[in-house]
Amino acid sequence: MPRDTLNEVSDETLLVLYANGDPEAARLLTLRLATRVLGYATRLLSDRAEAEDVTQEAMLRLWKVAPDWRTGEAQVSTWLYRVVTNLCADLRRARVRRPGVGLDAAPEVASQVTSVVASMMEADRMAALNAGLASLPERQRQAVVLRHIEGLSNPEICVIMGLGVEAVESLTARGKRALAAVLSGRKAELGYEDEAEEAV
Amino acid sequence: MDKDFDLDALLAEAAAERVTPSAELASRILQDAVLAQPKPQAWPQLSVKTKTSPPQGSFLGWLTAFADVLGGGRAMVGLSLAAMTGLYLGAAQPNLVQSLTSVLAADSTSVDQIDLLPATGTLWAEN
Repeated sequence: MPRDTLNEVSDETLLVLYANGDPEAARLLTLRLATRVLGYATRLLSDRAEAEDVTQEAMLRLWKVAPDWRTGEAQVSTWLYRVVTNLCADLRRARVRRPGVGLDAAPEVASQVTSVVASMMEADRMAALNAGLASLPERQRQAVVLRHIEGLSNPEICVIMGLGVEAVESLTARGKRALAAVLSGRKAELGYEDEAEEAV
Repeated sequence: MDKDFDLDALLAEAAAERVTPSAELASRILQDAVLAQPKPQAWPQLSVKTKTSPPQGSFLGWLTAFADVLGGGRAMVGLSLAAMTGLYLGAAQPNLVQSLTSVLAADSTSVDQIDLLPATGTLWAEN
């Protein structure tokens, strides 16, 4: 199929084309989906190398499922987000089993805040945000990232997380409040107070 | 400034930020795609029986070629049997054939007959 035409077709159509042996479809799917998947995995894991491994594994699972893909049942991106969510959860659980590695292994809120503050001291706003996200419980972090950074709708997040709408809304709201609490009082380090003063 | 507004702005900034896969990662993903891509199914190979042809130029080779032209060995056998039967009927002219030809050719037609072989008509006649 001509490249101009391929740019306009849906992810699902590209996946069917890939399953039928079209080599260009794989390249376009990688361009479209790997970027989103890598960004999401990086937010969840706070580790670029691990996020890349998760991205490769998730894309490999997509290639393998392509011949059996049932059209019209699920969006390709939603399916992929779900795979990444599960892979990241598995990886974080493995981290916990390794002593002294995972952020979740530190149970006390005080130590989490300390790590967030330390991160803010030496990094930019995005690094501070990532550290704040890393301090959240896993399900809250997933919900906040999917809703507010990946920009997905609640029904899509329900499919990805395997939860009902109310549970997702609750997780998102609680996660956002917890994130605001972690980042509050650090506006200067985030660069917002200076901008506000200049505006006045 | 509202605390929640700050967070929304920060999240919007994060949403606008794109994490670009490295060339090495993209290469790894595409390599996986090539390896996992289903290959078009090949048509099943039809088994064709090949005959061992006799050496060209020999009598057997000539006979085989001639038999192939006529339709193969079986057709050749059938044709040979039919030819030999016709030759026998024409040469021996048994009574049965003579009575048949007399009816078909009528009385006005005269047929010159030459005895090439001893008459065997008596063998067909009932006593």
